[in-house]
Amino acid sequence: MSWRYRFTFLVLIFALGIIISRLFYWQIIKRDELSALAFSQYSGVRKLLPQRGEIKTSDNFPVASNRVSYLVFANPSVLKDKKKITNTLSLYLKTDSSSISALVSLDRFWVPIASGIDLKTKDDIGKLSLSGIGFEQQFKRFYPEASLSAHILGFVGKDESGVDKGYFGLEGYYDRLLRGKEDYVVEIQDALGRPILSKMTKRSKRVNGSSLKLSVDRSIQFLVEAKLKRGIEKYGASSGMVGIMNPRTGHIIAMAAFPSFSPDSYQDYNEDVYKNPFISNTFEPGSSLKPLVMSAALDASVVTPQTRCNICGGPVTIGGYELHTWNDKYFKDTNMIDVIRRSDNTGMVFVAQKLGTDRMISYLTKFGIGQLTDIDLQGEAAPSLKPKGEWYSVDLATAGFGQGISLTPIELLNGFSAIANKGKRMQPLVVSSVEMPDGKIIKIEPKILSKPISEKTAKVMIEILVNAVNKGEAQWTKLKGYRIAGKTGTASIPVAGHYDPDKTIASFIGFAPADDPKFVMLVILDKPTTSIYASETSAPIFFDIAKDLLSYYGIPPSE
Amino acid sequence: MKRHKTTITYALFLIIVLLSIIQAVVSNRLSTSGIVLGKIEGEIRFYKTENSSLAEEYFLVSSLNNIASRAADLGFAREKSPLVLTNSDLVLTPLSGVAVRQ
Repeated sequence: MSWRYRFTFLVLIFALGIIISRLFYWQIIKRDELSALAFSQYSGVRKLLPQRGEIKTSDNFPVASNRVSYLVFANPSVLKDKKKITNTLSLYLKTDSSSISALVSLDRFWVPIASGIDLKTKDDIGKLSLSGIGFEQQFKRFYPEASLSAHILGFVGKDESGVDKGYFGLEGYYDRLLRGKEDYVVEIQDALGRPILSKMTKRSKRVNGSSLKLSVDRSIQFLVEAKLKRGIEKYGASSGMVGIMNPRTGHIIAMAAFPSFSPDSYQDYNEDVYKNPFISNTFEPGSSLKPLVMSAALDASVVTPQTRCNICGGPVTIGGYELHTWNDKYFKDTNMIDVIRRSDNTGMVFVAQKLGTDRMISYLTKFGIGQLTDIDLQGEAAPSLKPKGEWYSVDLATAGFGQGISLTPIELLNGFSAIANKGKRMQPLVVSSVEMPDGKIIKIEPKILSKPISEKTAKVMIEILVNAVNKGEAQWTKLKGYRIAGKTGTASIPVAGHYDPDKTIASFIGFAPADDPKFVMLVILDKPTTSIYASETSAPIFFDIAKDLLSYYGIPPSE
Repeated sequence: MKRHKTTITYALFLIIVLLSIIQAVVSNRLSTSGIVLGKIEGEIRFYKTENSSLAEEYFLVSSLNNIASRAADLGFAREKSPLVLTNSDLVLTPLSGVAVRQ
């Protein structure tokens, strides 16, 4: 071998060594850095917006769904005739041209012009092929039943950073579950930015929001809202509400309140109507609390249905206050059945005194009074019961007939439902199951909160309440042939240290059929003007709704 | 020696040509797959939007608000006193299984 051949061979080996060492440097030592650099050149990141979960009624109909909408954005740096584009967009988007003009004058590459634009408007603008104007797909809440069950649903607004956020009702309570998780897609793109089919495309899983299936029956909710609205108008009330619950499971069947709002255009309403008064507003229940106090006294065996009231012959004076019956009629030695039938305040003072403060507080607590019911809606309130040391003899007496004690309608409905459910108080639930994005369904099981009274006491109390409906003040409006247990409540409204003599909160609470209740319902009218009495206002609404419910459930008359 | 060099030159030339063809084919496929993918994604987006619009229309038409107003327009009225069949009204005869009104 000649020296020239050897020399050439060594030079080639040396060159190969240099190449190998350089490759080693790039591919091993600088691997991560160069991979990231290359990846940034051939890949693009695309934001994926999760779809908010739907809210469906018990018949699987979405009362809150999503509709495709668009965000119109502009790239001011490439806009040619800004004035013309501003005027065109202003025309199509029906917005002030000065605000669009201000946006397109910004020295940025991306400015949002308007969001929530419908498909037709997007197509109309798209046909104009305006350079520098683009669209981004979004989802906007859509309510097929308009304002139906608005107080149950709540609404979707924006948080501080402009991201969708649920407020009030289910949207607020289950916001994290409904909203899902925003995610990104990393795509391998060609030189023109088009995606390339490649195994290298990294696509992370987008997590849409979970959907909620409610126990709310859409037909009943519709019916209740229509009848409540009509009732408020008929009886000249300032507002009203109705709550219907399945006493066996605690599932809410319907819940309505007026005045209400439309979740789609919540901005157009006064903020006061956003909160659900059935779970947020407190009131003195008046006589509709009597069944709970009487049940407590029966359960504690301090009275029996035949116990005679020895203080019922006239007004009762306690702690300097004279307590009267609602109609100033008095019945000496009346029994407990008639105390409830006549809604006798002095009779309930007798019962409260027999029960005593300790047992009164204990039973009311077991009935859930003074505590949150933990209903799955945002905005529940519950004023606490007064501490034992602050109960004076007059407080005990007035609590017996539901005055001087504040609670929310849901507390009353929940406590009363224990009488209908063999003494067991269930947790009120609006959502019956959650449907996860992967299709998995999680059922929400009913939960017993407490057992304030025995089954035997509940049975006795049911008979007393059936008697109250059949022979009480509201008997004129009762349903013939059905055994319905219920009680009127005409509560005075406290104003500046005394009770307003002309204004009341009229309520009716009851359940049907009495022997196997399918629903327990509370109707409340605030300041009815045609009559201040519940027997002439809220009771007719109760029976009007109950009639349709019994027909809807296919329950024939039993008598 | 000269013949050996010629063989190597031909071999290198063939390898270069072959690699060039492979590169052209792969590049061509990759560049057109982007167009195809873009088209498919566009179609998916179109059908999803179409489905969403149809679902929206369906929900609006089947909403109780719409049904109630349509029913009222068509002159449907509520039955004030529905007919109720109580259990005692019907008797099932054991053999024929025919319901007989008493």
